[in-house]
Amino acid sequence: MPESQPHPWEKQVRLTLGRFDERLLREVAQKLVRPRNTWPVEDLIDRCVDTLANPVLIDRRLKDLDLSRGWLLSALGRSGQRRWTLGQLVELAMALGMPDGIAPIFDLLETGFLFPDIAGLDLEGEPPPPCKKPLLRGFDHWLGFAGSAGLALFVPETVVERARPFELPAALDFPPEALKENDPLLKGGIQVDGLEIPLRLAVLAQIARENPPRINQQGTFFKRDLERFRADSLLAQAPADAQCEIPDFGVFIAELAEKSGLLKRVEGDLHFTGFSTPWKNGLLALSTSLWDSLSTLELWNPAEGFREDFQNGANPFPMASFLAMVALGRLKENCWANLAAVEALVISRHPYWADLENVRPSRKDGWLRPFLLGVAFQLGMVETAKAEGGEWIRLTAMGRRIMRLDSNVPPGPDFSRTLLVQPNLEIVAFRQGLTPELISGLTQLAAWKIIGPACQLILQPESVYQALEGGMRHEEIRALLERHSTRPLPQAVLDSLQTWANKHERIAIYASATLLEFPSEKEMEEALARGLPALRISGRFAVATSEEGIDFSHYKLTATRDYGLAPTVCVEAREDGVTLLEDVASSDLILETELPRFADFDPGQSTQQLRVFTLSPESLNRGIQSGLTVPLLEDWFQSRLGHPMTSACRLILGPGGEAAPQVEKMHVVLVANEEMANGLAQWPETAQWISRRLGPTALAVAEQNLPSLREAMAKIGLSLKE
Amino acid sequence: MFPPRKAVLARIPVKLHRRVCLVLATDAILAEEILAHKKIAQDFCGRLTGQALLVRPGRLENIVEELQRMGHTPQVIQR
Repeated sequence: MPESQPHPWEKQVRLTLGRFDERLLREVAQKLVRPRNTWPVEDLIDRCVDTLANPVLIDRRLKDLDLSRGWLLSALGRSGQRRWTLGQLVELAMALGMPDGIAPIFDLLETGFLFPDIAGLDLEGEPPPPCKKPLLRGFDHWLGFAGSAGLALFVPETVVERARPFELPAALDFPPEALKENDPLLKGGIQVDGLEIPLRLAVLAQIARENPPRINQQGTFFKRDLERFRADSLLAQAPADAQCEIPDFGVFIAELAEKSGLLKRVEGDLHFTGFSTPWKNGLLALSTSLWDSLSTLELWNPAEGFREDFQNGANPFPMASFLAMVALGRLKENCWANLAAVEALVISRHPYWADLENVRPSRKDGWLRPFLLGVAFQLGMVETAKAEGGEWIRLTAMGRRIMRLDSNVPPGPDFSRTLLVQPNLEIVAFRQGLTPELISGLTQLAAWKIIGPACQLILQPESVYQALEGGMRHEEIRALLERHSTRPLPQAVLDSLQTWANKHERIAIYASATLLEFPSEKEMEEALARGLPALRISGRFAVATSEEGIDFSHYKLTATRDYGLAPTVCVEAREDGVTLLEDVASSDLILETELPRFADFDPGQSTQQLRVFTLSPESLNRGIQSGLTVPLLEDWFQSRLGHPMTSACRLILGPGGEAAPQVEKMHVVLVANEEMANGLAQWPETAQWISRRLGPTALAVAEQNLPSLREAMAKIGLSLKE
Repeated sequence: MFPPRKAVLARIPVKLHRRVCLVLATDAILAEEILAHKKIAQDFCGRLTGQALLVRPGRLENIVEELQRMGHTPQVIQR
C-alpha cells in the first residue's frame, strides 16, 4: 500500500520545531507529548507530529487547558484559515473575555497547539538539521522578530477540528431583546444564490488576463488600476439583490482574488493563473474558500473601502467581522438577531473600539452592515428580513456549513441546461443553473457583458482564441456549450467556432520543443511506427513537445545538441575546396538551414556520421539569388569551418572587380638558380624587359623584349641559350 | 518446447535537438508569408522545411506579438 502523503501542516510543524532551540523544543514537547525518556530531537519532533495527528491525545491535552484557551481555538475553527497574525489573535482573545490577550496565545504556543510562522524565515535552500541552527530561543524572543511584515502564527487543522465543539463564552450572547425566535413575521427572509462574488471574480480574471493589475512598491494597487476597479461597469456595479452597498466593491473583489489565489503576484504584476480546485468543486467549496480568505484582507475594509494605512495585520475589521459571524453562529437555527445589536456586541467586545472616543468617526459605527448585508449576504452566508425593530439577520444553511457549524446542506436542484446560445454569438446564462465550474468554463471562452438575474456573454474570436490558447480544444468548447445549452447550438455558432479553431491551428509555435533528426525517412517512419509521440515535419525531422513519453530504448542517440548554444565549427572542406563535410555529431540545427541554401547534398558519399555537400556554380548561384552575399559567405566559412573561404569557392563566385584573364605569347627564361633570378628581376637594366616572374627560377619575357634582355645580360657576361 | 523468442528490434539512430524554438505553418505559402514580413524576418534563423521556421533564441515573444498584429492567432505550445 502506498504511503499516504503528509498533510501540509505536518511539514510546517516539523520545519518550525526544527528551528526551535533544543531547550525550547523539549519544553513544548514536555507539554504536548509528555515523554518519559529523553529522546533525540528528531524523535521528539516525530512524536510531536504524531500527537498532533492523534485525536485522542489532542482531546486529552485540550481537557488540561484553561477553558478560555479552548474558546480561542474553537472560534478559529469557524474558518478554514490556518494562518493568523498575532494582532488578530490578541483581538480575538480579548473579545472572548481574556483581558490579557497575549497570555492565552503564549499558553497555546507552549502547549504546541499554536506555532509561530517562522518555518521559511531566513531560509534559502534546504532547512538545517533539527535544532542545529535555531532561530528561536523562547517565545519572548520571537516577539522581537516583528519586522515590516508583522508576526504570524499557524494552528494545525487537527487542533481546531477537535476544539471546535468547545462552547464559546456567554460574552458573545445577544441580549434577549435583540433576538426573535420563531417569529412568524420573519419567515420570509431574503437570501441570494451566492454567485455574485464568484461572477465578479470571473470578470476580474478576464480583466487581469488582458491587462494584469500592477502592485506598487508599497504593496498596494497602482492608482490606474484602482480607477479601473472602481470604474469597470461589471466589476463595480452593485449586485441586483443588494441590500447594502459594498464600498469599493471592485477593489474588494481584486484583493479577494489575490488572497484566494485567483491572481498571483509575478514580479509586481497580478496574473490570472487559472481557476483553482474550489471552482471545480461546487459553490459550497468556493464560498468556503472565499470565506477563509476574508480574514487576510488588508487593503479593504467595510467601513471605508480601500485604505492603504491598514497593512501588515493592523486592520481590525477582518477580526471584528469574523467575530460578528462567530456570534451569529451561536444562534439557534430559527433565531434571528437584530443587526444593530450584532454591531453593538462586536463594538463592546473588540479592543479596537474599547476607547471609542479615539476612534475615527467613520469607523465608530455602521461599518458592520456593509459586511453582513454586503459581503456575507452576497456570499450566501446570511439572510435578512425587515420587521419591527429594524433589520434582522441570521446565518443561512450554507452559511452554517461554511462556518463548520453544520455538515448538512440540502442539495439544490440540478439545472445543468441553463444557457441560451443565440445565432448572433450571444450567450444568455440563467443564474439558476450557474455553478462555479460553469462560470469558470464560460469565462475562458466568452466575454462577460451583463451580470444580473440573467447574465450575458458574447463569443468573440479573441475570447475563443484565448480559450484555445489556454488548452481547451475546439471539441471541448463545443461540448461545454452543448452540455449546458437549452437548445441545439445554432449553425452560425458552430461555423464560427470551427472557423476560429481552424485559423488558430494554422500556425503553431513550439516554444521549447525537442526535435528528432533521423538519418533518412526510412528511420523516421520506423520510429513513428513504434509509437514515437512526435509530429512529422519533414522527411527526416519530427517534433515533440517534450521528451516525456519518448521511449529511448528504441533509439541510439548519435548526438544531442542544445539549440540555445552558440553555433560552432562543425564543417570541413576537402582539398578540392568544393566538397564540404558536415560532422553530424557536432553540427547544429541552424546549419541545416544554412548549407542547403548554397550547397547540394550528396547522399551517395554521406554516412551516418558525415554528411557531404558539394559546392557548384549552380548551387552558389542559388544562394546568391536567395540573398546571400560574398561577405556573408566569408563569415559563414569563418564561423563554420574556422578558416576563410576556399579558393575554389572564391573562384566560382567570380573575379569581382579584377580584369578578365588574358592570353599572351611569352618566352620563359629559365635560370640556374633562385639567386640569379632575383638579380635579373632586381637589376634595372634587365628588370625593365622582364614581364613577370613565374617561379623561383622562371621569368616571363615578351617576345619583342627578348633581344633587349639578351643585350643587357651580355653586358655582364650572361648569354641566353635557345 | 522453447518459448518463442521475442524479435529484437534494432535501435534507430537519431540526433536530438533540445529546446528548439520553431514556428510551424500549415502550408509553405503561409510560412513564406511569415518569413517575408520585414518586422520579424530577422527573428528567424532560417527555414528548416517548407513549413517549419527556426526562431532565433530569445525572439519568440516578438514573433508572437507581431503575428497577432498581422491578424494571425498562433497557438503557442509550451512544454
